[in-house]
Amino acid sequence: MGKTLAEKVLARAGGEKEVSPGQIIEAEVDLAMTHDNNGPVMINQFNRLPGAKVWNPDRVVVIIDHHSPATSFRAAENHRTLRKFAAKHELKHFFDCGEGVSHVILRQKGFVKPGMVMVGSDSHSVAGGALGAFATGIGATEMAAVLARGKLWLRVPETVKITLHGRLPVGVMARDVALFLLGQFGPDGLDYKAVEVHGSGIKGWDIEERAALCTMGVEMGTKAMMVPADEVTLVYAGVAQDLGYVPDLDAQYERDLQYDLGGLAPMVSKPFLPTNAVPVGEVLGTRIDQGVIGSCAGGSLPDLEIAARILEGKQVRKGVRLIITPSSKENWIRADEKGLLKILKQAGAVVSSPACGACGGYEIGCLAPGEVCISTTTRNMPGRMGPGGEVYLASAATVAASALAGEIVDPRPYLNERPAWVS
Amino acid sequence: MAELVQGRIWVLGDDISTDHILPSRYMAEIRPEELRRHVLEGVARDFPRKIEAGDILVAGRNMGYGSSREQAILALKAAGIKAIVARSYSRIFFRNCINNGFLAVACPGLPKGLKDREVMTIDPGGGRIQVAGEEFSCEPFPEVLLAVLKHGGLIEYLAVNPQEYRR
Repeated sequence: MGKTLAEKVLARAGGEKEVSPGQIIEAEVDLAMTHDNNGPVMINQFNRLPGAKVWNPDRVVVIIDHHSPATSFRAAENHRTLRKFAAKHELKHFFDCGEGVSHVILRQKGFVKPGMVMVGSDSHSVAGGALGAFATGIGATEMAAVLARGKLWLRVPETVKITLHGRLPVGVMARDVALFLLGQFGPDGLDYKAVEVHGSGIKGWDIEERAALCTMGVEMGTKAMMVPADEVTLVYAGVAQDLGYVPDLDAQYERDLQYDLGGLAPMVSKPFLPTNAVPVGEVLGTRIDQGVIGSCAGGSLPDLEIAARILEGKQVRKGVRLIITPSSKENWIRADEKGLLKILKQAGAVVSSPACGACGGYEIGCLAPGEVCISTTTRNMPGRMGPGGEVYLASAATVAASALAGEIVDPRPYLNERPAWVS
Repeated sequence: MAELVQGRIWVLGDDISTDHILPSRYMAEIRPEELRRHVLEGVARDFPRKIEAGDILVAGRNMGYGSSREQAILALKAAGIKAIVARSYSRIFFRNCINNGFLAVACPGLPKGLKDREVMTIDPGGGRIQVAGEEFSCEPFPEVLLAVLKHGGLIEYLAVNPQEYRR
């Protein structure tokens, strides 16, 4: 019987010939990541294991991204704790303030490869699935154990196959597809499941766009959201040849679902769940106080490009704050080289250094009670950017256009002209 | 693990996220005595003042949705919450509970309409709970989890099984 991608990767990592859904395996971990939000709790737990050493310092990546540069005295102490831990255990891969969001760094610096088992002490670690890895989030205590053991138990999940057909209309982005799917499944609709994403709809997407989709998968509960490696993946990951980590043609899926992207509208997720997704037409005219372009599921180069296309030569509406946080130093530098940052700044945006930024109300871009924000960040639960604040989730295009209008608008009319610098 | 747990309940809804349990703005804090002051603030600002040691949380579907933050569980434990009973759990949160030796019981048949401050009894070994004069069965724990729970958490389990990690 054929196997899904998740089953093949977990069989290899578990040292089994083959595995089936429901089976519990002990998986060898290929890559482990922690950051300044959960790292300090992890270190407290690790230090309670007498004499513990890190199983393989070359397979651990530590990143300061959530409260970066240190946003409080407490954050500064946490950062110092992480630096000392990394030095003591000779962890080679340490990324300090200003390098960007962990999930983005992991792929852009070449840590994530197709077929890996990757765990991160962050739910959005599912981002690694964009490169065909089995990447999933775990807690701080579990991560302490992974650092000491190099393995963890995993229940082999059922796999749901999602095939995306057609081509996205102009002004509709990968992020809109993510919100659309979240709306289809709800907050626990794919809980504990692995998802495989297939189809002509994503063949032309670059890795950043695939990552925008996979990263948001956890908001419907997915344990792993994987795009099987293709030519785009292999070139990006610098892998010379297919490692065999593709699903069998006769793999057994729990569900096999098809969607057509051709008619998709820009989507907006209303407060207070990322899965409250509706076509933008249903929330037109909602007044906003703030727009945010950033986070592990926004703030990529395609996001900054489309924002610059919409904002070029225009001004953000008076009374609206637009905060733009490139998701990595690499994205920041490339956007700068292309002249995008200048366009964004001239339009009135605040451009901040690469980090998680306003996503979790981490002392940057917070909301006062009653204020409304439209954002490319990952979540909009109550109080996410500050108590009493409301967050609508959308694509970079919708955020940029709404920042000009001072209310939620459809970005498509703003994209009729194609500037000369768009490649 | 075999001991009965009894306490007053606080009834929450579906999809209670870790942002509800401990809003992300407190995430730079890792001291339990500080975290407890903000527990469940995302549900109601006065929640931290209502909770007493020994209370039990009752939740609907998808308890612990969202972020992997373990500070949420540190805050619940520090506030004195003894256990959670939910219709279902978000996977990272459930693992985090067990890894911290915190009793989290899945009870798909839990009725709606339970009221705050009713008294609930949990029999983790027998897989049963009693509340409002009725008895309900809970989902059994997989063996890997049972071993961790019995030791009071993953670190406690490994500390007495040092052959399982690198020293």
